[in-house]
Amino acid sequence: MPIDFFGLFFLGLGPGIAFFIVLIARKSFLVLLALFSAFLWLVVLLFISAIFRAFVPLSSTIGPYTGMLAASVFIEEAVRFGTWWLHRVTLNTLDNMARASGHRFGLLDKLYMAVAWGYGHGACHAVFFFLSLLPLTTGDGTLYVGTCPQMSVFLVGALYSLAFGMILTSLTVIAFDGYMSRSYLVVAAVALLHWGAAFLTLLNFQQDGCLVAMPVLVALGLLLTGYTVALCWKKGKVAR
Amino acid sequence: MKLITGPLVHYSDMTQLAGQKVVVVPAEDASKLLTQFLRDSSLRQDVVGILVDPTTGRPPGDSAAGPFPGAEFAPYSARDYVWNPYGTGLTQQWFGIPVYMLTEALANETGWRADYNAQNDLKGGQHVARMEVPMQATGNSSQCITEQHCLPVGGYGVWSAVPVLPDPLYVNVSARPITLVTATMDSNSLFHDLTKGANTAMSGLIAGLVAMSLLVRANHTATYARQLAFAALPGEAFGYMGSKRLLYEMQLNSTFVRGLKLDLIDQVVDVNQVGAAFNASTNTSSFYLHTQLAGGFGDASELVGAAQSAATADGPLVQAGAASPSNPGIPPSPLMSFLRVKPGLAGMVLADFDSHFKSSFYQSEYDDGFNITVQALVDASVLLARTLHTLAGSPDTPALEVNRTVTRILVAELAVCLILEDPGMRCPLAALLMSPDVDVYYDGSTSAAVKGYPGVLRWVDVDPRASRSKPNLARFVYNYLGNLTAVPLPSNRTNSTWEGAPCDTTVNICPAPLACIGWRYGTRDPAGMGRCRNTTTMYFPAYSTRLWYGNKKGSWRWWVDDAAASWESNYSWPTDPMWTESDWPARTPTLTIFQEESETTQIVVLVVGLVITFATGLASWLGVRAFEKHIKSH
Repeated sequence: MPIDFFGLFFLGLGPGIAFFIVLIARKSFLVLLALFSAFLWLVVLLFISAIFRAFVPLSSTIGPYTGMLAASVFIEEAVRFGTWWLHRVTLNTLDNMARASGHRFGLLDKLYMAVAWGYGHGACHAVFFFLSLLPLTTGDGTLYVGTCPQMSVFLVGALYSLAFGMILTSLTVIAFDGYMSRSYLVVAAVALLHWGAAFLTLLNFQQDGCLVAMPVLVALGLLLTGYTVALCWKKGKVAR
Repeated sequence: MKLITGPLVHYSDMTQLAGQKVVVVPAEDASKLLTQFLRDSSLRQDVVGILVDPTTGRPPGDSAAGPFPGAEFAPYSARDYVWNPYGTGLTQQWFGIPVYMLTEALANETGWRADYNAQNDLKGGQHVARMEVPMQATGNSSQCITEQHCLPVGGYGVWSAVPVLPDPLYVNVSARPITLVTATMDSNSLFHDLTKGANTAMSGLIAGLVAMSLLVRANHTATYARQLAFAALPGEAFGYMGSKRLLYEMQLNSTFVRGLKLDLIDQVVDVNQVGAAFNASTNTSSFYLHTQLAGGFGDASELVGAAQSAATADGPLVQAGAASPSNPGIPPSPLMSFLRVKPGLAGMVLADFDSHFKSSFYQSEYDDGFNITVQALVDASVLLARTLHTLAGSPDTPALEVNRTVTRILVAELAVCLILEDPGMRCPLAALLMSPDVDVYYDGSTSAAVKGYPGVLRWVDVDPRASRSKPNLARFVYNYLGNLTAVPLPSNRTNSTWEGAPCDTTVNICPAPLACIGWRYGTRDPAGMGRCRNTTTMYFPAYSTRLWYGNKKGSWRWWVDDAAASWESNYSWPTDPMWTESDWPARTPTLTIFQEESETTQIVVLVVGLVITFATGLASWLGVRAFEKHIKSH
């Protein structure tokens, strides 16, 4: 029913869109960057699914899914380093251009760009794993699985989209900061957090597991968002 | 217009779960639930739909007719007598809610979904059934016929004369008294399209057709002193529509019944339910001969005597005795109509039961023939053939010799066509006589099974020999009897060039009195075309006597008509029920089974979603402002 569709839309994608409008839409360069990032991550996801096409059908049990998630996150983290490299190249180019024209290219812009990279990642996952299902909710039915009688599959998707939007955006910003300051601890922590979040979703295989997994993921997202804001605030303090 | 949705609840969980529900009930308990529903007001409030699951097994007995079907038509007053012990009378009740019989696929779906609902106590995502039932007819039959939103229940019956009736234009023979044999062609049940009439109708029809075959093959009909006639009657389950219409048409002396005059009919033998007569443990078939004894009706002792001597001719294998005198009269049978209009005629009902029906599935979806034996049908056919031979024969008529093996083959051939679902009307016997209409279901499966329900009559074909657009069973009986009873035209006829000529239903039409028998396809190739034969076999329509199909004010359609009112009151007919079926929009009614999110969850999600969206927007905006100021200040 339409209420279902709009409810889930606002729950899963609303905050992301609001964030986009306020933070990213003001600067067209950021919009392009976010779109490019989303496209890049889409290609990565397609690449990962191409690999796992060979393993279809994947038995719907924890074992095979753990393996798949571990491999996918590993590939994504590797690509994240690649995006950091692209980010650095872009930053250097823009820095030189700014110096040449006499304009300032400051910390805020760099942070905005990191956020745009991260937002693309989060948005790509939201579209790939949630928006693709959403049109089904315009009809009259819904779908519940036996292991999660409390939330429909679509509600789980919306919460996933909300949580991972926050998690992936924050992780990118944190990771870029880690790469920049060459802090292996931070980079490792980012990778571990990503794996951790991915493995948390495996709890959905357990009876009533979704009741634990989804709220924890949303809480994790809020936590990481808070940490990122604090990180940026701190950096703002010491920046020239 | 009407979309009814409700959560699926098992019949066994009905009392534990409160609120509106769609009850999924196994077939064995369906009649119980429906009867309970009619009595219990709390059920009437809560139950918005009923789904019957036939996969769990058949009930021990089921009949949608009443305990005394058609009691108001009986020539005696005994409304409380129980002829039909399993009768529930549900077809005469108004439920006001949709009741569906599930297919196997849907039954598999509803089972676990109703379990899920019960487990979760109807909270959260419920599994619901959504029923779309936009019936177009409103009010009663008179209203919907006038508004053209319904069509009358009806069909075509077939009657045939053995031997062929002479054409009165050419031959001046004094008309002989007629012995009419009647058989019912169809039945009724709660779910019309699923009706099967193996014992209720087909057993008598098969026995009648085979008996006629035996008599014709014995080749003594030319010596008969009486005229034999056989009539297959449709719609008998709907206020004796077929027999009533036949009698009315005879009153009008219409083209449908030329030669069949009620004045000449003084003996009527109705072949009723005969399939359950054989008792394997005693190795005998027992038949009962019902007659209306109580005063004022014709003396049927000749009929009973002929039947009893016919039974003794087949030794201990076949037994036929008069029905118990403690019965109030004849059982539900077309004979009731005949005795009403001509009480003086001698009437007998041949049946496999005495004081109450032996079959536990009279007028039911489960009357599929598993309780019928070929032996019973063979014995009934032979008994009937011998009886008619005795009644019709003259002193010159030789004795009837019956080959039981041939009889068995005839019965089996007809049973394959008329009782089995597959091949049904695509059977080898029918393939020689006609080309059946095949139903295609939307899962791709096809069926040409004989329908137990008469269906609706869209218009009335006034040509008694036209096979075009007639339903499968009527065409089969017509062509079977036509083929059986055809004889060469007398030599002094001028029209004899058409006899034996290839014919069809549209282009090459046989001139009267010839009829086109056996047309299957084509108008040029003789291989598929029929042949014009000289036979007295005719269709007659069956529909309510209070309706008329014709042209008034420029349009051809059904009209409510009281032309028959005086005839009806003359013979004190009970008010004609005027059965009709409503029109429905294409592709309806429908049943959809799916899982639905609860209202509360949907609204909560929407509210929370809107709140966090605006909160995020606000927080981000404030945050960005603060951050930019923070950076600028450093």
